[in-house]
Amino acid sequence: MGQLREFAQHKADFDRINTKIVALSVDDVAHAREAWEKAAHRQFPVLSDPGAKVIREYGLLHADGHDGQDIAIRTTIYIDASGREVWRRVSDSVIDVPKVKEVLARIQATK
Amino acid sequence: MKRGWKIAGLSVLVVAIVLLLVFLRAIRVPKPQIESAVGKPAPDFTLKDQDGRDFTLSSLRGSPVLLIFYRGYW
Repeated sequence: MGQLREFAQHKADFDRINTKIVALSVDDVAHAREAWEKAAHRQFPVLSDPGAKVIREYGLLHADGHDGQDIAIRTTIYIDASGREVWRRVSDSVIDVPKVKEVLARIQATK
Repeated sequence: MKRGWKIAGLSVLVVAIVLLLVFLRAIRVPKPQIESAVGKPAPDFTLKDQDGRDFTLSSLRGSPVLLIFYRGYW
């Protein structure tokens, strides 16, 4: 959850480059709301994909990833204003968490 | 003597933390089914947001979007 917290703390940096942040996971709406309040600090939408339908569509399913439940592989995807994917950063271990500084630098590099 | 125990305790703690990090680092997650979709339209979707309202990705068209897939809130 530290990941959402860090991005929430730096929301202004993303506003400056006109980039909207959206988070999603397999959490149900109640848990998404908890994440929105306690981790995202109400700074950006936190969506609920309990059947992992969208996660599958993006090819980011970690089958049986947590207590036998399918979850998402931790990933950040940058989509341009026309709706095209510019890059994606996929974590390769459970402690590989993207940092805001790294993401901002990567966004700037693609502008 | 007390100081010695403190140092020993701290050393054990540091070693335990390092070992834990090495262990967690070693737990690999599977490779994504799609490693890259650069240049392709991001699939549009509608999901419920934290308030139970529909949220559609394409409603943000015109602004860049950072989509964060996280593991879950537990």
